[in-house]
Amino acid sequence: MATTTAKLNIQSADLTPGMALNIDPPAMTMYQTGTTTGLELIDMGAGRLTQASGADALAEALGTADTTNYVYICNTSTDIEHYIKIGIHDTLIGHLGSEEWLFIPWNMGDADAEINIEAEASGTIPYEYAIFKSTFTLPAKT
Amino acid sequence: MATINASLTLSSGDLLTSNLAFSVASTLTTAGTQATGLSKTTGLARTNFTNDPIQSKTLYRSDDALTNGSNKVYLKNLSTTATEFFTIYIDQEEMGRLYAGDWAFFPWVAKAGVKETFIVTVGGTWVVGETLEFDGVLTTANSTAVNGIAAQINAEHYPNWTTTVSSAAVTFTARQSVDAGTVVTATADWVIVQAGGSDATAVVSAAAMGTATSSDIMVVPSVVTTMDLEHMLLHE
Repeated sequence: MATTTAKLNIQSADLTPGMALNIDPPAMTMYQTGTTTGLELIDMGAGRLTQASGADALAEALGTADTTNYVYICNTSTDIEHYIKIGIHDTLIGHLGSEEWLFIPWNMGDADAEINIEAEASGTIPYEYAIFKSTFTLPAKT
Repeated sequence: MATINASLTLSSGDLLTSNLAFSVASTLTTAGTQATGLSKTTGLARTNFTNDPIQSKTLYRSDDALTNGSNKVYLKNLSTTATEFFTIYIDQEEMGRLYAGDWAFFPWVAKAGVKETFIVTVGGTWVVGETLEFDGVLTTANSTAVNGIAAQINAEHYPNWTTTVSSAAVTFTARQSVDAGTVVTATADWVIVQAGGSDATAVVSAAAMGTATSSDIMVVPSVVTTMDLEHMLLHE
């Protein structure tokens, strides 16, 4: 088994005056579903989105339902006008602004649970991603 | 404005044959800006889930933040039992399962609905001391002038409504966006206790139905025994 960790830190000295914010939980180890056995599947990549391409599936839900999976996405554009819409199937989660990232659990609960991304604003928006999975089924050969 | 920094480090020495190690850091700003930091937060909170049978909780309502804003949500499952998890939903769509010790950090669109509204118009002849009740709030007329009574209604604090006033008409707006399927407020919901000979009225008009929000964040624990979730909303 592998040991893969994700460490978060959120800090602000002035969000709540007199009470500095410092969310600094221990690094979380990514385990297979409900166990203490580390995840061993990863899919990483980078790409570029254009507004003209509309919404694209970053990842299809091809794993086993109700398992542990994690998704990291970063909008690596430095143009403040560039943001990426992040959704699961028909539901919009949020807008990922330039130089922003997200880290979420993902349940490939059914075939209609794909992670989709869509560029907003003209130009080309670069992004990078990593998906850590408990299980995965490769697409069928055509 | 505040300066808020959020960083992530992903690392593994044995997942691949080469070390996996990368870090990203963001300064959290309002939508489309680089210099204006997010300045609003619900604060860091801890919510306990102990319900038998299991019940979901709405953690954040879309009305709590700016639609299409650069809102951010932090969640952490404080359980130490490996099999315990929270299922995270955005509206009716399942995002995923947050197992013991896991955390999540993501942008949130906070897509608003429409809040129900209606106008109540004070009319007729009023006598000082007459009362009218709505939404659990009792108002006792201290004037015979309809504009004065309307001003009194507007000065109240209703649990489920906010108000504005213009002459004898008070506009009510629901605090939360809800799709009730029909307009829920009618003249009959206003209870007036008249003095003898009075014909005081409070008539509801221009009622407009609300629509539900579509990105509320809901959380469901996996067990009926106690589980705690740490969470925070940073928003516009």
